[in-house]
Amino acid sequence: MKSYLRLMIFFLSGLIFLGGLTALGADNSDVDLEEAAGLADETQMSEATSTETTTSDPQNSWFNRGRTRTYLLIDGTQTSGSTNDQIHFPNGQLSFSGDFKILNESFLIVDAVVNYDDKDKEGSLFLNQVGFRSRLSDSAQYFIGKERNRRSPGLLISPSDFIYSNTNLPGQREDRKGVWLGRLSYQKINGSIDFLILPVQSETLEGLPDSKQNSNEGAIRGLYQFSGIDVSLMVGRYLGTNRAGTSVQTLLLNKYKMYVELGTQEEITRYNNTKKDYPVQSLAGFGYEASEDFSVRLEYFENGQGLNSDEFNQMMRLRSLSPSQFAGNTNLQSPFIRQKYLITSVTFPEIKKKYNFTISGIKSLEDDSLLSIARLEYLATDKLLAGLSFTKMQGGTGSQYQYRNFDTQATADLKYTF
Amino acid sequence: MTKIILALSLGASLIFTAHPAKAESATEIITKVEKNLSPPNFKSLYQFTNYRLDGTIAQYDVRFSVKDVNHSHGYFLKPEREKGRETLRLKDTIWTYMPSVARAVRVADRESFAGGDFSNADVMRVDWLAQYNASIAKETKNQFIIDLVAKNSEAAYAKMRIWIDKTTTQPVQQYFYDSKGTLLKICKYGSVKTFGNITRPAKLVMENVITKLKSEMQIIELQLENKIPDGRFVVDNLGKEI
Repeated sequence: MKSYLRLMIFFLSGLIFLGGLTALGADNSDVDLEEAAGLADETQMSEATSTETTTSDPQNSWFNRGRTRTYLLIDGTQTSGSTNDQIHFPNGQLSFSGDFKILNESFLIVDAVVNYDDKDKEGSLFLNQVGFRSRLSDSAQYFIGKERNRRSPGLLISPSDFIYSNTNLPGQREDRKGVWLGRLSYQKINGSIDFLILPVQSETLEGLPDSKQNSNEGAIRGLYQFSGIDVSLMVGRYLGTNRAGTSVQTLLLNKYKMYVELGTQEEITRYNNTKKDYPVQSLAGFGYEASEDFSVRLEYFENGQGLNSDEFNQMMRLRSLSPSQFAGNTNLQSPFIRQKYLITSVTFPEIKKKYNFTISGIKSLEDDSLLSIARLEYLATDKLLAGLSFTKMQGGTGSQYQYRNFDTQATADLKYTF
Repeated sequence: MTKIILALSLGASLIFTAHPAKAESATEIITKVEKNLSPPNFKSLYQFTNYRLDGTIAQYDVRFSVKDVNHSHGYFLKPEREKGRETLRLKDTIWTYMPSVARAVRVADRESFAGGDFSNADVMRVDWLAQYNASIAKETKNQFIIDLVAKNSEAAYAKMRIWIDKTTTQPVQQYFYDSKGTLLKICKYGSVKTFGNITRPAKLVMENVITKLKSEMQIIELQLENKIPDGRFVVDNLGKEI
């Protein structure tokens, strides 16, 4: 009887022990405490004593070469909506960019594209970047030419950066349009400061400086990183007005991206030639980047340069009375003509290691207008990428998209990089 | 008397020879491994191969310039469609450069490197002792099995277990766990080679236990003792040759 009792206590205590471990969430890693083999036939420890010695000649290796990137893009676009459906095919772009070492510490850069547009049936050349860069010391560098150097956190728009302010909408062609400048930079790993001379305010269609310029412009631009927080500041005079911008960015727990951008300028001229002094543009952004399957961004953009409700309604009344007066106004083609917007983007990178998918939206908080863009990319080969983009503009009467150029636009493209 | 002295000497020598040599601590062993895996001031060409479930592969060639564990820079050479992409690690922050729009963007640390099964931390930051506490889980005849437990939630993994060969101090295998103790990835090391004055595995195969996908990292070329200018690690120089 005693032995039965002892056996039962032993059995029960065993169960309790095992159950307790499971309940406490004990990991199963202790079962993996056997010797490991490593990679078969390659990591046998006896081989480690007769290892292969790898050497390379630093003078002739790829380390000292420059860099180039060339691609050919062909696309076709179908638009439908307020006008008759239109199909334009083929459109094309040939791009070449290079950064070449010409002397010990000196480099020559060039970035140019040749575009062919089926709509106009003609080709054109555009110079994105070109110039000469040289290092004066470990911390000092200068550049003369046309350059693009954008690092502000905003997804589509960056109020803090009045020099590289291009709006990059997803699904559109690559945009690397630089700015003509002379730059003297003092650079340390945790921060840098640029002194910029900005002599060119207008360009030819080819991206070269136009003949008439006001050369008394310039800016100071700085970035400082401390304790995981990036702070940037930019002040100067550009395109005829004094301007300033600042941004703060951090990644909480290495997962949550948070940033704020602010920018202002001395005055702006609106569609009806009225002026507004020191309008402030602000952008607050939040992103989640911890997952390897997707990333999300959400931004609130308050556009002090845009039209408030009264101004917007007045503009729309004038536009309905005299549409031709507004036909060529490029400012009104911007997605940010009003004052309050939500911008969002969700990206699914390398789905099944073959596809990228991004969906983005710009929603006005003052009317029902919505611009949404979806893009799917198929990583066909190492050199070939096939893409499909779909853009939809929505907005009823009285909204900013009432006079939109199209309802939907679908683009199919092939990009071959070599 | 002579016999007594001889006996005492013999006894003493037996006692001293029988005393075991001081065992290496887990921290000392990991320090040696880190020294070989992540030496300061080197340039290298790594080839990443990502194996997809459908049998196809994606290959990336990335050239790295490394100052130390806190400062490294990667430039994508292949595939051609990724050419010009760059990654920059500055201590706890990572920036990526997109050549398509000539723009530098700060990104999270946990994103997979080049869309494969290696994370940014696996590739660009082998400084385990800064983020993990090391302890010997077991010592077998030929290997040390060492547990690395995260000091805080900012580490890429909650726990890692690494098998290290006793004779060569080369890593053989590594397991990566999440905070629930679930095995996430297994890395196997191989093809031990000598580059200058360091000897290290030149081939790493990472298997994602959850997705069953596999990625390989191979060192094609490695040059030590390269004085890399600090300008290489400046955000504003992303997209530029140095």
